This record gives sequence, C-alpha cells and structure tokens, in this order.
Amino acid sequence: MRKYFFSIWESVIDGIVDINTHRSRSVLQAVGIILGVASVVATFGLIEGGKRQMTSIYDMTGGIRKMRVDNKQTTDASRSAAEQASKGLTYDDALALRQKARHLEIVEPTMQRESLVRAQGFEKTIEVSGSTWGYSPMYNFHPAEGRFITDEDLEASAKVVVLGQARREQIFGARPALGQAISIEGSRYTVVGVMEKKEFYFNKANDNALDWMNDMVFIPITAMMSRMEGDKGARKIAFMNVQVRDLKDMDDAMAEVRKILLRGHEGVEDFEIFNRADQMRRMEQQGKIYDVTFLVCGTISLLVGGIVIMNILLASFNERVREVGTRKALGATGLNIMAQFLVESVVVTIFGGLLGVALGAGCTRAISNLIQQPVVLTPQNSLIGLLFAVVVGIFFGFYPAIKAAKLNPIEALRYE
Amino acid sequence: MSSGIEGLVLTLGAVPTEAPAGTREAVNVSSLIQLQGVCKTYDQGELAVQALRGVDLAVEKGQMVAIIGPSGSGKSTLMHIVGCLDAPSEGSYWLDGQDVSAMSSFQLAGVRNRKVGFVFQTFNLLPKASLLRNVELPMLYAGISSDERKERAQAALGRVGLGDRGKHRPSELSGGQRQRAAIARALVMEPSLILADEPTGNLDSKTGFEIIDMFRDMNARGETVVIVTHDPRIAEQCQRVVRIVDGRIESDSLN
Repeated sequence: MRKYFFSIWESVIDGIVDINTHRSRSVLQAVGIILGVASVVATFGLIEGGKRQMTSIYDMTGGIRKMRVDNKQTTDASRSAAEQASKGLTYDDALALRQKARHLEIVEPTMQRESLVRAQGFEKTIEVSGSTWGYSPMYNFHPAEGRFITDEDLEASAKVVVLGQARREQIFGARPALGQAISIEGSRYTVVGVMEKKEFYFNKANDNALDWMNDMVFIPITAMMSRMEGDKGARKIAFMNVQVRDLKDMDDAMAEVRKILLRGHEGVEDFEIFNRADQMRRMEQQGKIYDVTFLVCGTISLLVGGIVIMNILLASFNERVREVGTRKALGATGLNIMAQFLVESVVVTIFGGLLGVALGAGCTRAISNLIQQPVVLTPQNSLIGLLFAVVVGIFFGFYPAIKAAKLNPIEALRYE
Repeated sequence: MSSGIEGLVLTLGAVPTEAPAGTREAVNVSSLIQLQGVCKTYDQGELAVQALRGVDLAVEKGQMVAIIGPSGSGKSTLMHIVGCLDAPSEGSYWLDGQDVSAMSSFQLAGVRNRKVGFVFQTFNLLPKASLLRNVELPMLYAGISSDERKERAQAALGRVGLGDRGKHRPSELSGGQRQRAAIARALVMEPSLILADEPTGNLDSKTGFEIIDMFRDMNARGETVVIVTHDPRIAEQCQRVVRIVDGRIESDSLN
C-alpha cells in the first residue's frame, strides 16, 4: 500500500518532468491562466481602491453616523399659509434637538453669512460660518494651533475666531495669527485657533477635494446671531449636521429628528434629512453590481484559460496515447496515469496563477499611474484569483486525465 | 476494458501483493503459464468476433516458446491474455500459480508490473527520457525507491551491453540498441516471463538475430521467454513452436 502511494507520487513527479520536456505546450497552457488571473486581480484591485476612497472621504468628513438636515427649497407658489409662515431651520430647532433627541450625540447648526473681513493688509468679503463646538468632532476637523470654539465662547457670544489653514495664510502670511485681531463686519475678533490642513485627492490629477475646509472662518454661532440682533432672519441657519450615537439606531434617530422638527415647525415639513448610512448602503449596492460584473468577466476569462488548457491537453493527447499504452503495459494503473496527467494542468495553473497575480499587480500599478487613482491589492483578492486558477486547472485537467486513465492498454499500444 | 476510475479507486483497498492463488477447482498449476479452455470474443455491435476458440496451453519455467500464426489467427489476442493486458471471456489462466483470469484491470496492472517483461516491435521507449529513466519506469510503478531504481536500471543496461549509454536518449541510438534497452527494461523487474511481440519486426535481419541471440542467452540463464512472431526463421531459434490458426492451437512442436 505504501509502495503504491509512492508510485502515485512518482507519477506526479513524472507529470512535472513532462511539463519541462514539453515547454512550448506548457507555456501555451499557462498563458490563458496568466491573463485570466491577472485580469481578476487587476479588476479587484481597482474596485477595492474605489471603495477605500469612498469610505475614507466619508471618514474624513464625519463618518457614516452623520445626518444632515437642510432647508427644503420650495418655490411652489401654491404654498399654504402655514407653509409660507414657516421660517425654515433656525437655531431653536438645533436647541430643541439637543434637548429632546435621545439618539443624537452631536447637534451642530451652521449659520453662514457673507461678511467683510479686514486685517492688516487684507480686506475681502468672504463667507463666515457661525458654528458650535460640535463642528470639530462632526467633521473630524481639529485645530492645529490654539483651540476651537468652546461652550464658554457660545454662552458668552465671545468675539473669537478660528481660521482654516489656507485662510490664515491668506490673511497673515508668515506672521503668527494666534492672539491677533481681525475685523468681521466691523467687529473686532481675536484669533484663538487655526485648523489643521484638510486634504483628500480622488486621484493625483484632481484638486484637493476638501480644500473648501481650509478656507473656513469660524465664529461662535451666538456671536453671529447677536451681531444681527433685530434682523428678521437672525436665527436662521443654513443647515444642521447631527451625529447618531449608535449606527443601528439610525432609522429611529431619523424619525425622532423629524418628529421634533415638525413640532417646532407647526407640522410644516420645510426641511429635508439626508442620511449618510443610506447613501453608503446605496453605494455599496452599486458596488456589488460592479463586483458581480467584474467577477463574471474574470470568471469568463479564467474559463477561457481553462478551455485553452483542456484543448492543448486534448490536442497533444493523441501523441501520448502510445506512451500511455506502454506505461500501462509496464504496470501503470489508471491512477498513476491520471496523477501524471492531472498534475500537469494543476502545476501549470498554479504557476500561471502566480505569474498572473504578479502580472495583475503590475497592471494595476500601471493603471493606477495612468488614471492617477489609488489601487488597492489585498492578499485575499490575489488568493481568490489563485484559487480560481487552480480550481479551473483541476476542473479542465480532469477530463483529459480520466480519458487517459481509461485508455485500454491494447488499443493504446496499437494506436498509430 | 478498464473498469474505470471508480473501479480503480474501489479496488485501492485490495492492492494485489502476491495474492494467494484462487481456489477454484484443483488445477495443476506447476506450469508457469497454464491456459485452460480460453476463449476470447469481441463484441463488435451485433457481430461477435471469436478471436480465440478454446486454447489449452502450458508453458514451463525456463522454456523458450515461439507463438506463430498468420495475421488474424488470434496470436495477438493470445499474447494479450498471456501478458495480462486482457482477460479471457471464458476459460482460466494461471500465471505463476496465480489465477489471473478473474482479476480486475487494477490487479492486472500489478501482475504485469511484477510478472511480465514486455518487449515490443516498436520498442516503445519514452522518446524524451534517458535510457536510464526508461529502464527505471517499471520499478517506478512498483514503488521502488529512487536509489535502488538507479542502481538496478544501471545493472540491467549493463547486462544488455548499454552500460555506458544510460544518459542517452533513444533517438541517439540505433534500432538494435533501442531494442536492447527495451529488453533491459523488461528484465529489470526480474519477471517470471519475458513476453516479446515481434521483437525483430523493425530491425534488419542481422540485428534481429542478435536480438534473438540475446533472448537465447537469457533463456540459457533460466528466463522463460515467449516470442510472438510471424517469421519462421525466428521461430526456428526457439525450443518450442506453437502455431495458432483460426483461434485454435494447430500444432505444438519442439525443435
């Protein structure tokens, strides 16, 4: 019994020797697999790269627990009186949510005003944001120097300002900014913080997708409101971001936010709630369609590779019939012959698969440079490609191997 | 016909290692080859071709037998059965005390490997392998270790006068040398029987007689040799000649 297994093992070695003695045949077989695996690895790399980018820009701007509440733009002339009377989102809505909503961790209203900003050697009308301390954790956006707006600032309506990195440079150049004063709409504000630089590139050719954050100018929202005291729209906010404490409560949280806001708006739904988790889910679903499409394409190219292997094995089959007959006459069993034939396709596919992974990796790098977009190669994806190749090799090697193993030795010996 | 992979796998548990002789009826199995009432019928659709119609044949150890007959006489079929490449449709065949007529194709492979040394008309050496590797081949299927294989293959090549050609490929040798290499391959497992099928058919007559001389030498040293041929001059060189006509033994004579 042990001797028999040893003889099977020797047949396996015979098969490997065959690969070497019929090099052109082996190379032809491998080409199909190499290309198939390479295309699978490359497409996986591209998909993975795209996915990673999508998640990372989400992470950089507050993650997927974020919900955004916007004013609904209604230009409909046939609005009811109640609708016309409704004032849209206000700071009071934010306060109401902060008090009543149980599922929310952060409520961050943002007020935006075009304001004249002046400093030594600088005078320009730019957008200034009235914010609360929540903006920083919400957008995962932190001060590089000094501090961000605090609760105390909000309570005191303190005349303090925090600048984005680019804005700081624009106003102060190389001079230090912290502790300096700038004038916003005629009021004197002290710079208490400068934010870190935010950067994100979808691809190398693109501009910084988050550059707008570097241009921001933050003052406490209360300071902005007090400045416009008496103004009819003084408490109006541009939008509001809220962050859910636990992702699994997202649906409840949305309902809760809607309920509380409706109460404050006398039942008029003049706001819209966008939910990032839903967006993400939609994108993932689209991603899955891509996944399936590419997987199908990859599978087809691997099948083609497998059929190539089988064709070449079958084409060379006839010239090996007499050899099989001889081997059988000398005592080879069907299993010996099968092992010898099968190992050929298996080894060729493993080698082809490995080369395919290497080629695929090279291709993705080349594509990545070409379209200037990051491509992510994971070991799992390479492994999947490789595994596919081996399965294909065994599958398509099986038929010729069985055919050879079943040859009648007499007929095989007589074969011309 | 082969019983297929399933059959092969199923019989894996019963690898035929010197299996005890069958216990059918008491037969005198002292002869190396003992055929009794062997018939072989090939089903070719509705037409059944009877290649052998009741052959009784006994070959003793140490004999040198020629099997002759015109083409279509059934001598090839007889050779296939004697060589365990095929099983009889009827009758029984005992080889070296073992009933092989009822064996599976898997078991027959083992018997061929250990008991029969084949020599073919067309040599049937693997063209891309060295002579040494070619001679190793039957030992490979016997599961003999690599070192022992190399040693024995070298010794067998030495016996046929090709001791210095082990690294050569068959294409680098003459026809006579190739057939000698094939004989080395047949001898290397120390089989009970050397079975040669038209061993001189592809050689010129001088080389052919050299090969036959080699068989005679082997026979003189105690090997049992059966040669299937249609050449009466070759048959003359054998101690015993069995003539097959129409699937029956027509004559069985000693020279």
